[in-house]
Amino acid sequence: MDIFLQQILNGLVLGSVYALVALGYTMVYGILGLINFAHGEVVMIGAMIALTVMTILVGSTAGLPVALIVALAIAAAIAVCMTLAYSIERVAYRPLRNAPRLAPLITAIGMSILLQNVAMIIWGRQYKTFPRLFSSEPHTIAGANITDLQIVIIIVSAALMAALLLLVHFTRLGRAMRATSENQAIAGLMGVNVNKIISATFVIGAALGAVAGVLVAANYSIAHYSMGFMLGLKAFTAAVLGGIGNIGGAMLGGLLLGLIESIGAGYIGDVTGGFLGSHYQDVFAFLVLVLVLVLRPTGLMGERVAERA
Amino acid sequence: MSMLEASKLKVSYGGINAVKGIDLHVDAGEMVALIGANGAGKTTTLKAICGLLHHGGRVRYNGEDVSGRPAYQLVELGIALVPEGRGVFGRLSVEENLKMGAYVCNDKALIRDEIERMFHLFSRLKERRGQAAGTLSGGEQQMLAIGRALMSQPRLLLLDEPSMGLAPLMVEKIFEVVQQVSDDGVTILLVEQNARLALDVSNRGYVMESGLVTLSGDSASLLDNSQVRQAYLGE
Repeated sequence: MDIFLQQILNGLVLGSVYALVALGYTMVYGILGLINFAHGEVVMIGAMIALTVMTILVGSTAGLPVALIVALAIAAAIAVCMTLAYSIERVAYRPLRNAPRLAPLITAIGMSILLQNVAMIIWGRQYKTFPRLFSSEPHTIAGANITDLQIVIIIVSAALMAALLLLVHFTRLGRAMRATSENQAIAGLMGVNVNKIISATFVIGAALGAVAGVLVAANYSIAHYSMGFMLGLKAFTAAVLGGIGNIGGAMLGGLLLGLIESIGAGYIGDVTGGFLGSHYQDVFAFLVLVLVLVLRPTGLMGERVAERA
Repeated sequence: MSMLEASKLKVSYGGINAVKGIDLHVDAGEMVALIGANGAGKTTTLKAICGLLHHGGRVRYNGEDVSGRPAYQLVELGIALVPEGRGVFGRLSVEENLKMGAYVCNDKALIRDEIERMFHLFSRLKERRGQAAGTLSGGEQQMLAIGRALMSQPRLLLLDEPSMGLAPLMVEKIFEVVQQVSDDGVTILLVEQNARLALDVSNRGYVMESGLVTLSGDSASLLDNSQVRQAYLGE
């Protein structure tokens, strides 16, 4: 088995998920300058909803086809997450729109804790197992293994990211989102209802996050009420790595972070002579965060066009 | 009935009364100049009229009370502001900026025609249609800001210091266009520090001083007024 190729594949799978979640952070930051720390929990709730729907449908006697079960579960997750994100913005962030920046940030952290605890009450403290719907028999490509599900993760993520880029760059809504992120008052002068655009941004980010949550939980076959915390931090790191506020940057940052983590985890044992093992995987993400913040705080693609005159 | 009527307009922020209860009106088809020194409250007045600032008193547009309505709703009624300092979207292309101007319009064919009209009006913009607006010169940005405002096909155009920071040739070009827009039937309220320029092109004028209107009348008579000549025309 080719270790290097294997780690690249693992990294792509992990990175795709980071990228999807990172988009939610970066889009909201781009428009409001707010780091929505509750986003990781929205992702977790997406996974939990999908898991619940799948468990019910698999347990039902109707014997539905797998594709339909998955589609229904993802649709339910997306719907719930969009509603949740819309409500969070409406109830928790909008009243603080003109407050000092620290107030919404603390509110976001509070919202994150609140959602975790609500999830714990609903779904319990135990790890929940995802029903096995995909074959876990791996395909072998050039000496590396990849499962059906992992192929699905890469394809779905790529498709969603392409769709988002098209939306942001070629539609009226996307143009309004970019205009609003540059200058809310001037966007208002163009007839843009800024509140609607902000809601749309939260809702789109939540939809992407819901899918990411389902994919990551299905990949590891487990979901847990606290899974959003670490995933959220990693995705936030990815957004910072790419340049927070920059959509292309979040995609690049997510993929890079996935690759760095999995290659790091794959080789750390050899490099340190077995002293450190692959369970130190998480160290890499935060090492990256520290390095980016010290060396290039604007991130890889974070440079903005200067507004002259 | 006037197209725009502001009565007892008051604006204060941060404990400062920037506008202290002024009355002004603009009739359909007119070009009205609002002149005065730095800090007189001209820009604040415009921002209040177009819904960017909370204000006291009333603003009526075509007889309808629009006080306190947010800016984005006034655009649909036909009011457009070209803000001080242009306010183009620097990261959007020239063409995207123009499309933003037509945000309230849903007719794609009409938007395409309007963009062509703007490119005809400002040929420099056509050459730079794909370029990020932030890379344009100050004059080009002013052209873009005016073009963008015209894209919404306004009936009332509010212009805030269109000559600010521009080379004389560019100012001339901008004011040619302003004159042309006015000739096309768009009602204009023009805020300018360059009093001579503003009074030359306008029908009527108001002079603002520390938050109050101190003088008003025909532009021609204001140009002859000794106070105006001394204070604003440097004679």
